Amino acid sequence: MPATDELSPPGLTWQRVSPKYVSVRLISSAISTLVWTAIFSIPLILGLLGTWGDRPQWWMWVLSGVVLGLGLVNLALIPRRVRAIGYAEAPTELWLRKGLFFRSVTVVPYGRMQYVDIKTGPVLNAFGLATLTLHTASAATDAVLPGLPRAEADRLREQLTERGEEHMVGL
Amino acid sequence: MSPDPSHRHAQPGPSADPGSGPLPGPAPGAGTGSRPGADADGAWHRVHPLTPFVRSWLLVVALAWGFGNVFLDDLVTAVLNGDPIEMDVGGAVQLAGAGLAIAILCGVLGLLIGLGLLSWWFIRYQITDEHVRLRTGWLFRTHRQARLDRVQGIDIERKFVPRILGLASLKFDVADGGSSVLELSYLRRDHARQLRQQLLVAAHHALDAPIPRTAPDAHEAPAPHDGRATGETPAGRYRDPHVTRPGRVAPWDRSAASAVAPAVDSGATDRDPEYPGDPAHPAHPGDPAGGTGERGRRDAVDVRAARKYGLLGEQDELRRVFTVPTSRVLLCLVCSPPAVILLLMAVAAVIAAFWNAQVLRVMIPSFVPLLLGVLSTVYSRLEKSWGFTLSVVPSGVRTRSGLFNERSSTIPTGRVQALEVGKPLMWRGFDGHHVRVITAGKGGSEGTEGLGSTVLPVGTLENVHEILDLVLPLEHAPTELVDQGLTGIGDSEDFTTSPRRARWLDPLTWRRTGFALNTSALVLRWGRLARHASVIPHHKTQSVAVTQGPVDRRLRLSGFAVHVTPGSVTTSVHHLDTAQVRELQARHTDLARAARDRVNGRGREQHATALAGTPDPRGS
Repeated sequence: MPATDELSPPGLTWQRVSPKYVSVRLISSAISTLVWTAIFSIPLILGLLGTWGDRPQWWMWVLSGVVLGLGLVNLALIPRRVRAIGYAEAPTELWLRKGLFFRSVTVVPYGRMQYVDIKTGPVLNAFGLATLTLHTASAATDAVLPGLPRAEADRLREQLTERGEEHMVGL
Repeated sequence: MSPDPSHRHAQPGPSADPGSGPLPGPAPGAGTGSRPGADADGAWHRVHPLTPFVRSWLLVVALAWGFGNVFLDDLVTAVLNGDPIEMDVGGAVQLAGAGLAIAILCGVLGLLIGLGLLSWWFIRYQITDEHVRLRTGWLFRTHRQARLDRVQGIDIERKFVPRILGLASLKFDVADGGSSVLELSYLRRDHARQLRQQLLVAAHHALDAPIPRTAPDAHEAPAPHDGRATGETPAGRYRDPHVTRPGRVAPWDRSAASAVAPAVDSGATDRDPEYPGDPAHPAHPGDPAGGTGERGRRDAVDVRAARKYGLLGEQDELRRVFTVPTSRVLLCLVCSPPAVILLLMAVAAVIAAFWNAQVLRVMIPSFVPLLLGVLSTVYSRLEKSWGFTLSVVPSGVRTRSGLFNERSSTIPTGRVQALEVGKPLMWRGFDGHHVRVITAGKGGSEGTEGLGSTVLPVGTLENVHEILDLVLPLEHAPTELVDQGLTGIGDSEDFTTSPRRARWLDPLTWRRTGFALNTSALVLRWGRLARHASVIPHHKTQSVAVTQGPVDRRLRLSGFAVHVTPGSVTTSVHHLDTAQVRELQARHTDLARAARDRVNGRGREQHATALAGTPDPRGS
């Protein structure tokens, strides 16, 4: 993954989240793009119907076009975004990375994890995926792994809990 | 000399220590008749009967004012006027009117007092070995409880009205989540103090047990050793096996505590805590690695034993570190943004007055909201810094300050997660610094700006050093790094700063933004006009992130953020060289792992030697 190699330290085997997560993100983003486009197209529709002036004004087209365009760009970037999400299990820490434009590489020591959450929504569930969230005592720790296969999420949770107990440190 | 290990972990109190018999009677000041400390029988206690009236003191004052104005006035006039015409029918009517007024007055007052007492009757608290529970309300009942081993600190808060009446409230900071503060109000002041000290002991034991090298221990050392040098001493008593052996001395024995306290004070007020030439201290605090931990532990045994059996109250100052002089408080207030705003407003008003007096009519009313804001800021600053005193207590350090509302707050030293020193531009003239810390369980939604997080409202660099030593006792004290963090600029031996290309993003501050590492802590620095440096000990770090935005990426820059428990300390720097940040992340991860292992007591020796052998903390 050349996109994040610059930030990632060597010697870690990164794992990606499930490729099926691309579809999940595509579906949800497509829906939201449609909704936003519909909302921002209200002036255009009113213009076309003749309720708002005789003909649609130029800015009505621009408004709808820009919103739709942004949505499409977003959709096009989703595969790369999903590929940028990765995690690596080091002996005492979990490394996570994410982001295409705003990238980050986070290190969470197992001993610092307070609890691990597994969540799944209707779309995620349909693809057999789940989202795993790590919580430390810090609210700033943004350690989320979306779109893991269910089995992998369960395995990871077990593994993290076990290692967390092993390395547990007081505050 | 060392107490039975099982007793070190035991909760103080009768149920934990069956050999000690029942608790001695309550303190003379225990107005509620409750026994302080853990109650084996789980008895419920009531707070001070004045509580509901003090809580709604504004209402009480308003009612008193109203009654005073209306009824009493009428009554007095009636009586005064009525007297000479006593035989008159009109006078009788007036008297009857007065009687009715009195009856109504008494009725309403009685009703209110009854309601107050009723609500008081239902405020009850219970202290067991594990919990503090508070029940309130008779129609809508609430039940709150806090686990003692999750209690991070117990503050005594004395607001103005309770203070007049000699009452105080106890606030429990709890680690499970942000806003869960349990408040016991109001108790008689002596009782609150006593209860607090005993609960802190209990809480501290529970907290402290798994961490061998906690802060207070290393720094409690001075008092006992000072004392020992002078003969009949606290240290002597602590070491006496007859005293420290469980069961011989009843816990919380106040007579024993009071017998010791003066000795502690006399030894403690001595401003020379540095026991030079003490043969018991081959390892000086400056000594890196090795000895410090062991010394800390040995002293810990003594102080803990003393603490456990109540010979040394949590409130007993071991040493008063400093009090911020009033002159400096005022100076810092004069050199603060609100004062400048005030000055600007005054100047504007004067100019306007000379130019056209009519303008003032518009101007002055428009100034009022701003003025109120400024005054309230000034007031809160005064409250926080007036008579600010930092002292060492067995569980850590205690801060106390206040002009009208005195607040004291204990910071358990082992709980400090991060520390930030700031040097505002206007304070440079008199070497003024302020220091804030994050304490686990005290940050979050409230109290972020509270006293709990400020350990120095204004002080000299020397004060900062003292605080660093006390609050963040580390094997490799980052004192020099902090000094450099406050004054240094550009790359130095210790500090790595932003590369030159970062000047496009930080034209003024790029040479200041930087980091330095030693084996114990990470020091970040930033800011050119207002200078800042923050210290994050490795063993308190939660997680670490390297971040990079699109602009950063073009310039090959990255930011570095250390995640700690929530609080008002900045723990990130931006726009550093990407390669250096990556290296920092890897290195920091290793150091943090080693620090955690040391805290856990695993591989202590091997890490200590390995780290002691690392010459350059930055590595390559």
